[in-house]
Formats: sequence, structure tokens, C-alpha cells
Amino acid sequence: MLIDGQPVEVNEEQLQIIFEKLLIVLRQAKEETKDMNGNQLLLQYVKAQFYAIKDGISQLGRETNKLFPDNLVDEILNAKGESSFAYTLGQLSRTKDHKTRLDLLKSCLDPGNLEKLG
Amino acid sequence: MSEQVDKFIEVMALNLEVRSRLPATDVWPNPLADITLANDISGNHILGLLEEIFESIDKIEQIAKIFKRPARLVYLMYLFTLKPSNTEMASRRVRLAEKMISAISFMRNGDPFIEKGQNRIYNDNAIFDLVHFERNLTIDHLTTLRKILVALATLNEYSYFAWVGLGREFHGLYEYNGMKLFVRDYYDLNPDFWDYKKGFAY
Repeated sequence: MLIDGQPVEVNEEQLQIIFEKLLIVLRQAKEETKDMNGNQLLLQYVKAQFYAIKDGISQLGRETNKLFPDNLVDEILNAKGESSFAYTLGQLSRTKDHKTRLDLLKSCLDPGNLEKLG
Repeated sequence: MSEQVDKFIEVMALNLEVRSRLPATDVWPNPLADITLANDISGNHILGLLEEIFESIDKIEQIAKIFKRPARLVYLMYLFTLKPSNTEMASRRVRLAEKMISAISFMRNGDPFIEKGQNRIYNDNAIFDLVHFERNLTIDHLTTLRKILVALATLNEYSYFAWVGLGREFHGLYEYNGMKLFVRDYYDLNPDFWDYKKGFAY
């Protein structure tokens, strides 16, 4: 097995330890993501895109810690057309309140929004 | 809004409520939210950065090092589904796509689209290391290994959503002393934009 690119000999006991560590991380991941709304999921998706080219950006001399500007959440929230539609669907799927669901659906069916969606 | 549309909203909202109570459907429905629509916010900016990277770095070996595995570049090529706003931008995108395919080809030993049905990215030395250190694993370890594989796949999904190629590469088949090897390579499960990875040593 290669771990961090290095060959490592592992026995059954060590495999079990690796698995248990993975389970701990998975539980943390579940806890961190369980209450995320559509907007927050979009943000993480965008961050993954930037992360994929982060090393290259770093070699261009850019500060990589500025890849995710503070206002990115606002940009996504305020985005018109398709993006706001995706955000609305995300919210729609999470809400337990019937009136909120109705209001969100109405906003989905806003004629202006539909025009932008084509 | 017409009366019929109002009615439609009412019926749909009720059905959503029913649907959300069904087992394993805490969230509704497919698509819950098409997160790929985020490309409209970020895609053009990322393509611009990719252009800069590919224009400023000549050596293909360095490009390969930056992107670690070919699947990462392959996934970034999904961004070309965004429409360019003018012909000049379209020309630049074509040039970028050509360079990216060249890099993928380099990383995949001349077969960028895996037309031969093989995705061979390891050299003989890496295969030797892998085989040498796997010899102590036997059939008795398979149960735990299977669990680890499922956990790794799940963690990769958590980390990258639909961009699973950013964290894993499946490659092979390699032949070694009569054996055939297929490698499930989870090479980057520690992205810095999540907090939960803090407890993860690898």
C-alpha cells in the first residue's frame, strides 16, 4: 500500500486502524455537512474547482489564500437566473415548513426567472 | 400569476411534503440542486486562470506535477461547456483545450482518451514498489480492505461532490510477473477548504 506516495507494509491490525481513522473523519464530514443549504453546497463546489488549480495559481505568484473572497457567498446568493434557481431548489429541499415551501416555489416560477432559464 | 399556476404550486408543494417524508428521501428530488450551475459563477474565471497557467509554464513535466493526476485535468475540461462570449474568447479556449489535451496525453503515455482501454500512468519502478509491499496482504485482509475502499470512495465524494476526479484516479491494467494490477489511487483527500479533514493524517 502506498501512503503519502510511499510504500508502507501493513498488516491486518494496521489496516483496521486505518479503517477506524477513516470512519472518524467520515463522521466529522457528515456532521459538518448535514445542515448545509444549497448555497453553502454551491460554495464548496466552487472551492473544489479553485483547489484543483491552486498549485498552478501559486506558481503564478498569486496568493492562494485569496482564492475564496469573503464576498463569494454573497455573489452566489445574489447571482441571477440559473444560479439563484439552483439556490432556491436547494432551500426547497431542506425546508420543513409548508408556507416557506410555497413561497420558494412561487419564486422559482417567477416569469423573469423562467425567461432567464430559457 | 394565473389561477392554474397557483394550483400547480399548491399541488406540487403538497407532493414535495409527502415525498420528503419517505424513507431515505429527506431531501427532494432529483435534481436536488444542480450544483454544476455554480460553473456560471466561477467557470469563466477559472478558465482564465488556466490560460495563465498554461501560457506561463512551458515544461509539460511541471504541468503534470501541478495537476498530480490526469483525471484532475480531465474534470477541468467540463468547464468548456460554458459558451464563450465572442470569437476571440472562443479561439483562446480552443488553444487552451489543445494544451490541456497535450498535458493529459503526456500523463497518460500518449493515449489521452484511453482509446486502448488502458489508463497507465505508473512506470515500472512504481509498479515494483506496489507489488513488493503488497505481498504480505492475503485473502484474510480482504474484508478490511473492502471497508477501506468504501470509506475512501465516500470521503472522496464528501470532499469534491461531483468532481470526484479531483481526488482519485483509477489506473491500470499493469502486468507484472504474470499478474494483472488495477490501482485505485486516492491521492488527495485532504483539501484545505473543509474543516473535517483536520483529523486525517494522510
